[in-house]
Amino acid sequence: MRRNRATIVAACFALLAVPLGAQVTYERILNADDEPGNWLTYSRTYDSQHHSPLDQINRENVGDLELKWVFQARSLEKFEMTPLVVDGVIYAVQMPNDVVALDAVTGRRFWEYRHILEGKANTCCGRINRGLAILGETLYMGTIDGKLVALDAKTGAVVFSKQIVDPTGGYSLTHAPLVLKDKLILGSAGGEYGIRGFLVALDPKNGDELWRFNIIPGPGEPGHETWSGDSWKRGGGSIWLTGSYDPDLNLTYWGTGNPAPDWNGDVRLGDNLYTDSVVALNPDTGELKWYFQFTPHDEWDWDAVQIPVLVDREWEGKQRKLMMWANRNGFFYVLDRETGEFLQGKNFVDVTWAKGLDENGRPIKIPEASPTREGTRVSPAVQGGTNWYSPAYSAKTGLFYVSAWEYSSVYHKGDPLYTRGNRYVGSLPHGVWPNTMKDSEEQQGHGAIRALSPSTGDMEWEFAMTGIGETGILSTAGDILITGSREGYMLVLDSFTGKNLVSINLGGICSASPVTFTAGGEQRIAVSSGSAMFVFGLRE
Amino acid sequence: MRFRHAVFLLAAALAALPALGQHADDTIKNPFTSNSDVEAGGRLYRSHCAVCHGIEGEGARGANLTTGLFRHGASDRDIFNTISVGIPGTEMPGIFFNGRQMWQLVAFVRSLSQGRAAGQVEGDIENGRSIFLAKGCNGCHRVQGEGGRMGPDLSDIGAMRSLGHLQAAVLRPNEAVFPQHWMVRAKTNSGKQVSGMRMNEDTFSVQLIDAAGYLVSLRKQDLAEFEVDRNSGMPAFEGQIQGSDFDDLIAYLASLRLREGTNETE
Repeated sequence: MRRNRATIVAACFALLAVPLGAQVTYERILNADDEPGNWLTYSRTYDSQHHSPLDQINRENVGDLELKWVFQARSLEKFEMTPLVVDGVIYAVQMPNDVVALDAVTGRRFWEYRHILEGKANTCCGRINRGLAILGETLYMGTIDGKLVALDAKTGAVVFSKQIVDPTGGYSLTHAPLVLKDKLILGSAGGEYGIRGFLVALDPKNGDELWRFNIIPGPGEPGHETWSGDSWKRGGGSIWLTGSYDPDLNLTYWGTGNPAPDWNGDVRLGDNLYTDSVVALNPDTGELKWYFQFTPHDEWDWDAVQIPVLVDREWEGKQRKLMMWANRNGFFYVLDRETGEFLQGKNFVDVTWAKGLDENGRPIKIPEASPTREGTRVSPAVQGGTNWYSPAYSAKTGLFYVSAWEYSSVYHKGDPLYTRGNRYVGSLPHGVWPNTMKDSEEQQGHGAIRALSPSTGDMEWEFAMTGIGETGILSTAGDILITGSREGYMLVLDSFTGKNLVSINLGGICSASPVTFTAGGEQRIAVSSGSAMFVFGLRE
Repeated sequence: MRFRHAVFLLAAALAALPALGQHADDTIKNPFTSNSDVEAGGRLYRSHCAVCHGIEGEGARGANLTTGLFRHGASDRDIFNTISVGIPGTEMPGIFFNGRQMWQLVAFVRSLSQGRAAGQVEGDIENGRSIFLAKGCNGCHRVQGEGGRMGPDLSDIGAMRSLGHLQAAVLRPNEAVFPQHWMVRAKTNSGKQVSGMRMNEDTFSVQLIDAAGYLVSLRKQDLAEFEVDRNSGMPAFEGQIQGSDFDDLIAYLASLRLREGTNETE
């Protein structure tokens, strides 16, 4: 009896020794660099540099990596999500919208939330989810059937579930919400289904809408005049990815999707604001401070589905607040993020649709590059010079890293046919992937990890692949880049030179952005491949 | 007694439904199969489906729809359900069209395989087979388990390719060479020459089948020379086969079609 009591007392002490996990406050996310062992928001920090201060694993010892554990999802759909890591617990999403909480040391599961889809949900390119947000002790997820689901981070129990958008109209929620102060910022996907895109701020307590910014402005709103007729009603403008935030300027930045229909611009004459743009908003009110449109009147599906990378550094002799952006349209931009002023732009892949950019950053289009009935071959191809996968920036090297695709597509113009909830694209391009077409000479293409100099726009080095990469890039203070490829390789490169330090065949398409964190005080790297997440650490 | 009655009713109700996990009732036929329905379905297809399945249904990101083989059920109702609901676990979404439009899409998808080469060409199939053998085509192409492996297996080619494609492939093989049929030539660091048909390649390695039928995997770091030839290894037969012999050869190729669920050709 005494032994039993002693055991119970010991067990209670043991439980007390387990970290209880402090609440995740806005201040913790704001100061994420103070706790580099965690990953508290989609890009880890609000500047979205996708760079970690952790350096236990570095270019000297990265060859000693060993597999620590693997998480095999129940779903066979590939991961595109970035997990959160909070005080020793990993929160991941199995496609489409099941959430799991895992022990960061062992990979064993604490709990699982299974989301039951109500009816159909049309998504452009797979039933994907790209991640979660956490505030307090609550996790937040947008679902492909249009709900905001709030879960208890300790048990996975539903706190509330609220319908935000209507999936029967082609709307879906795929990106990780962004926690800003006392709000969640969220936008809708569905640009290939004729939605009218928007960003909303929601109350984390109940999902109530606090403000709305229309990506496609309606009558009376500035920018509405850039849409002919009633094309604005189904003008697209998805939000596919989580935005960034500058607390000093109190501005949040979001990339917006393509206008609809994608490949026939005749029915939506004008610049089609605010598609293919970055919008800078006051997060308290949703007020637009400035915008910069990368591709006015897009006819190639070059949405600005990239993460705004915020960097403070010297620019022409002065310290400036910059934004760096390698865009799907093939140009690498540097903007002043206080004003939206265009500072520099240069193509980082072959570009044949524009002669270049004018002094304001507006593309000088080549009219013959527009899609035609017969087809027009244009670079970049329809997946773009890059796409949704996170780029990275390292202050140590001063370089911007991007996963680039170098190839072309034939763009056809067809008749756009709008029916509610269905695809609304206006024909299609030929050559969605490189090296798959019969006309082999013209379909040669490949992917590469490219390091760009922000001050010149020039490429400093590249790691060329035979295939292509659609994996985000993680930079660390260990002077390494961790990324992957559709071929199934996890890749580690030297961030100064691009030298390939490690390549491991994980067997499935690597799509999600790698993350790094600590487990039991040791640095870990998580790379997803297919529907599994592989976690590596140094050999013990 | 009332309980037993309820159980009976429930059992009867369940029996009236398609069994879960099995294909839907294949006695339900597509009511919209006229030429204008197929045309209407084609318009929907080009707008919604061709991005992934190819403008002729040849497949790319999505499945090849020209083979007449449907993995998720081949009845009209199965195809209707696949298009309507989508395929969970894949990038194939369901769509929201009304019933008539869905059936028109089914009609068009069906036409993609029915419109292939099989049964569409006049010619002496037996003589075509003799020409196939006399020209040495079987040295590289395999049919029903016999022949070489340096070219594509042709056992189902009549179902997969259009007549025009077959004719062009014989006359001008370089017009359409798929990546898995490109040729590889390499020399290892130790001086060994290796060549064959490229089956797969990535940044670090290449897999091929050589002329002797060996499966070979090479690491690129072990190679002194490496070249991928995107041209076909097949000679062009333009001007080499005259008159009815050419039609007979095409008729033979067009007749090659696997029966569903078997490895036999028709």
